[in-house]
Amino acid sequence: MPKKEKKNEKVDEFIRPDGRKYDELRPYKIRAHILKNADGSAEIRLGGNWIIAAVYGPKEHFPKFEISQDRAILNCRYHMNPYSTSERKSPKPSRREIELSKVIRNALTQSVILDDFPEMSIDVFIEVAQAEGSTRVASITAASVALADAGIPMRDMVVGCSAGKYNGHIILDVGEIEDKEGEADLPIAIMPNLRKVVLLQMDGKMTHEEFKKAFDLALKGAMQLYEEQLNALKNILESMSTLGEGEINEKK
Amino acid sequence: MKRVIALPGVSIHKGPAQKVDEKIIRDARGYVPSLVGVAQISGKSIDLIPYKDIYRPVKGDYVVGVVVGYAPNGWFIDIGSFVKAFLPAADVLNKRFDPRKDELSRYYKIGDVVGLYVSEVRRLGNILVTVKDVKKTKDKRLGKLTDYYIIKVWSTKLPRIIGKKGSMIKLLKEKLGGDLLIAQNGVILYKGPYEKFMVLNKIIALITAKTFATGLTEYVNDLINKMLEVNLDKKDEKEGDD
Repeated sequence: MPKKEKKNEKVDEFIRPDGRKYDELRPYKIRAHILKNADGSAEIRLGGNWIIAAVYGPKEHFPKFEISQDRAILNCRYHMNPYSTSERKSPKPSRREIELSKVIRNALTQSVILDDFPEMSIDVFIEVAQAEGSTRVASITAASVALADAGIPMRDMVVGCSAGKYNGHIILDVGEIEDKEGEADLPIAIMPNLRKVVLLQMDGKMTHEEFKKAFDLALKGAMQLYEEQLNALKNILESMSTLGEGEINEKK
Repeated sequence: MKRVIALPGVSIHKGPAQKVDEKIIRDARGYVPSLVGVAQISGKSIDLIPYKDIYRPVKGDYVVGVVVGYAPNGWFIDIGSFVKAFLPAADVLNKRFDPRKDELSRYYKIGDVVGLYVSEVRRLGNILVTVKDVKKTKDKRLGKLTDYYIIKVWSTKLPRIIGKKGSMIKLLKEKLGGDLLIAQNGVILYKGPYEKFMVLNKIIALITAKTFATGLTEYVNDLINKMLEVNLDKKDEKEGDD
């Protein structure tokens, strides 16, 4: 996990286009159980990102010839709404969306205990309502909470965070401008308690040392988001264990 | 006994334990729950009350399901589990099923609500049900159910609706009267006046929303008394207007 900074190391005082420091996340909020009809659901707001994840299942898989005899199939769909970007995006699944669906599915498959449900399938739907950079890692974070909310057994939560390089500085949680104009970005997803990396992609160029620094920074950000994930789940349980007045207004 | 919040991946107990819930994994991290819920650690046993879990049928369970389709020799029934259950026609007819003479829709149509026993669970995808009284208890309603109000909850909420040694269900039966029946797959059947059903509906909504609260039975007792009083008052007013 993230190492402590050495004292004699120079602290980067670079101020980013949106006024953040190099190791600062955008304001974040995760809420679980937001949709009534889905089996499990969650929402994440990370800066300008607003992503909703919903889970259905486990249920019978169709078509039958695809079923796997010893484990469940995890289907995943990452989709950006037409109004999620500044210019209208065609609702048709693009090459990028199909790729992201695959990497998200691969990341989540590591955690979900699929052996418990032979011949079944679990569907994860991720809708990006508003996009502002680093949506793939935010999607994984939200989908993991939605899976936990649906009562699907998991080995550990999955949490993602990104780091990158902008104007020669290593930065945490790449935003939209930094993503477009920056030199490199590095999204990662981890299982914090099992200490495993389940997603690691990189775009652009970084030296070996810059990569190490960016990776450590992304781990640090992921741990902050992990705390928020647990809080989102704890909030549901706490609301279920306090008896308060005004739950049912029988007189109205 | 210690109650702790269980979150997937977060270790809740280290050291020896003998009786451990099957939803808790054991590895180098200690005992780790795989579901969200509340864990009860007492002595050497760890128990997990999940916040949500899908109903897994067990042989001998009383369930209530909806007919969703016809098979050549029986019906497909949705009992709220992973897959649909199969009800063989021979069980309902009490004789050998002959497709040339017997018409399935004469017995059960799509949309009918049926009370059943689980007679066999071969694998997750293969559940057989029957309308025969396997347990011979005679207190369960089997076959086509009509004139019942139905409430559906997650099957993990049932222990709380029944209560410790049946305290909650006894209370509900005593206060509401009528015919109140609970099926293992999370279906609650009620036959009685509409006003009392509405009270029951609100109480069940409260219990499912406050599953992990302590002192729920007393709280519900007070609430029912209040709600029934309000209902009685309304009736008086109506009679007075006439």
